[in-house]
Amino acid sequence: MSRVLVVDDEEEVREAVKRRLEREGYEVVAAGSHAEAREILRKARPTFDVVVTDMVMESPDSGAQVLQDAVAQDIFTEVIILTAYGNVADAVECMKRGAFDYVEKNIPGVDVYDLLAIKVGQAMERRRTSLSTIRRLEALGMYGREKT
Amino acid sequence: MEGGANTKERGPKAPPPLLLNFRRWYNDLGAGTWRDPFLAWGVPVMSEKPKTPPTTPHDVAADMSQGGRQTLAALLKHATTSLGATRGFLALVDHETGELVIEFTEGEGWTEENRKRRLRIGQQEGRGITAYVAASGKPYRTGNVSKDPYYLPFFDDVVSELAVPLLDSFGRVLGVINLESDKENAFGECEEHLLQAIGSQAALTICMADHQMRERAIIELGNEMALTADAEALMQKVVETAANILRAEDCSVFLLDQTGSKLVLVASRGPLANLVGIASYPVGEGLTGWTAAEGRPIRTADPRQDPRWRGLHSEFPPDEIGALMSVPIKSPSGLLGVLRVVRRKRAARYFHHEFTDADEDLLVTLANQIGVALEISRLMERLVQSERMAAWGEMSARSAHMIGNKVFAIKGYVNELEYVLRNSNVNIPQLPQILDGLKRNVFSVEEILLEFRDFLKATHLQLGPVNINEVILRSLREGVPKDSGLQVVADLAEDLPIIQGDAEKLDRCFTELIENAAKAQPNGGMLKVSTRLASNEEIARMKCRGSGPVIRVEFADAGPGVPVQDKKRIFDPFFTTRSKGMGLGLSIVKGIVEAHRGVIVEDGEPGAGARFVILLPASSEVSCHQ
Repeated sequence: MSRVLVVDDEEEVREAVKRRLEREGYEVVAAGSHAEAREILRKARPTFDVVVTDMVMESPDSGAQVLQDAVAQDIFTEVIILTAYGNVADAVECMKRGAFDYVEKNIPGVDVYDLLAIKVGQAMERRRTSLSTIRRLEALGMYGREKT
Repeated sequence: MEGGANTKERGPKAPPPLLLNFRRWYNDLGAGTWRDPFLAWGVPVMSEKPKTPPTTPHDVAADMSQGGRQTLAALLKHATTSLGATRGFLALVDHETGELVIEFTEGEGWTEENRKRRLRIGQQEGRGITAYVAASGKPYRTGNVSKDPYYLPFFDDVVSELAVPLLDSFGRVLGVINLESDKENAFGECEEHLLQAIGSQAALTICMADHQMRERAIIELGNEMALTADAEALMQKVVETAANILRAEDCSVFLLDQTGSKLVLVASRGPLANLVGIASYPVGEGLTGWTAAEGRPIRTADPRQDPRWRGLHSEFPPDEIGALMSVPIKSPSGLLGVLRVVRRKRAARYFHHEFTDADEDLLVTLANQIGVALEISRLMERLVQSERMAAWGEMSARSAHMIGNKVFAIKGYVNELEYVLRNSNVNIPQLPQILDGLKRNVFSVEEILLEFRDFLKATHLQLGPVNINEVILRSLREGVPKDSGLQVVADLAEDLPIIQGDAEKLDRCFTELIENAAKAQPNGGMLKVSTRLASNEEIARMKCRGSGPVIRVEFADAGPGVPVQDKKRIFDPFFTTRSKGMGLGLSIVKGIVEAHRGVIVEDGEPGAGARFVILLPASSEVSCHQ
């Protein structure tokens, strides 16, 4: 079952995103801070498929740190930054560090929840593709089992 | 130079001033540090300052303290004994009344009554030798008073008399030392010279005390300014101090008002005191207005002779004005106002009313001090104001953030509501409309929040190299509404310098102007965007300081333009002529341009279209934003 970790310091936001993603059939866990998220990511077995995180929490770049912690656990975890007030510089930085996408919470006229559902679906798809490529490589003996 | 028959030109450097304020001088001398009249440069403690206008020596004498009396008394005694006189006195001029007042006496025969006699200064015969000497400024002696035309008897046993004037460095009479003898021809030329020497010593000590007093007043004012942020209290103190030191009846401060074209009275010690806040001069009118317009001092002994005189706000009727002096109050940021002192004509015809070079120096110094103090006071106000604004901005930003989070949550519930209703059997016809209304308004709130956030963040730049033409092209691509019918012409110069700036913010800035042009021409129209280097004339006219290239960007449309009455206000926050929108757009544009040290103006022809001209400096040496 596909697992999503939602990280945001606002309870209402956590609730709303969790509810919407559960509607899509995902298993959703919520964390209220980067510190909490780090602990959850460390102990997660199996690892999360997708992480949806806010940017500004304990510090202005908590989201980037969550991204780092997530891929440290599992390189194929897809991370989506969901931020209140985005800017181009931050977006570029996050994409460079391997985020799946960078979405603003308040784009007038856009239903961000439906957009998020679509994005999470796309992220899941990409992860599936990456993982299946790895398995094929393993099967062909080109990717050492002991490395996983 | 200043015109007018009686206005003073600056001569070569004048010796220290020898004006008198007897009361203060005596008080100071008496404070205890006075040892040797010629070596005592110590600064005695200032006793309480009199609130009344400069007083007569008569009152001063009553206040006189030991040290002062001792010095002058000693000089008189020395004169009397060494020149073989039987009696002597030292009298000082009372400028109010034009009389001599006896301050010190030596010898026998002095009583309460005759000490109190006042001698009217004048050169007429029979009015007394002392009076004559005071009026003429020349020493006088006679070997036989019964034969002398000027003699006025005080005592019966006087036969010879010798009197010398005490003169300041401008040759003005401060007083007289008078010696008498009961012998005939007791005083010869030699005695006259000797007494003159003693007299000049006495005059010198008076001068020094006056000098010290001025110095002390300036120092005290300087200290006050360092401690007082209250500009009003300071003004009051300055006018009182200046009037006292310069022995003037009135001292007033006029400051430029907001418009910079009018001088308003803010402090006065004298007859104008109850016109504070009311009396004013347009810059350029009257002697006071001229001082402000030209930024130069004026001194005159007869204002009526001066063609600039207007007599708008006179302390006294013009024929009673003895002398007038006004100096500009300057500060690092320019002229702030005018400081003016006026002396009333005294009854004494022999009193020199005019202000000297040294007086002007003093007043200029005081004016400079006021200038600095005012500047500091205003800067402090601005600092407090901007700190308050910063705090306000911070609070607003936080509120906006919190609201944004709640709006996000509301959107979540709306989304959920839609879903639940879609998948249920509920069939209420109004529902789609209600849901639409909900979504529409939530999006509106979001737009407001976004605009508000842009306004607050307009000045937070993330700098990087920016190619202006590229940013403009991007703004045009994304900012021109697809179906607007807007015809766009781009005339962008090649090889414009790269500037240090925030490309995203500049994009926002240009997009706002493009959208405004589209909104102003709903049935299609024209927008021309052009870039080039700004000319030196433009740079000077728009008040850019510094050196280096400046880029000029222009947005011109063919819409209705900006009406004349709105031109001043379009960049103000919350100014809008449209029913929609908060009116922050142009204030955001201005904020971004100014954060880049640039300047923006709108100079289109009302009715023929709006034209926004932006100057952006390419280097950090240049700033167009004060």
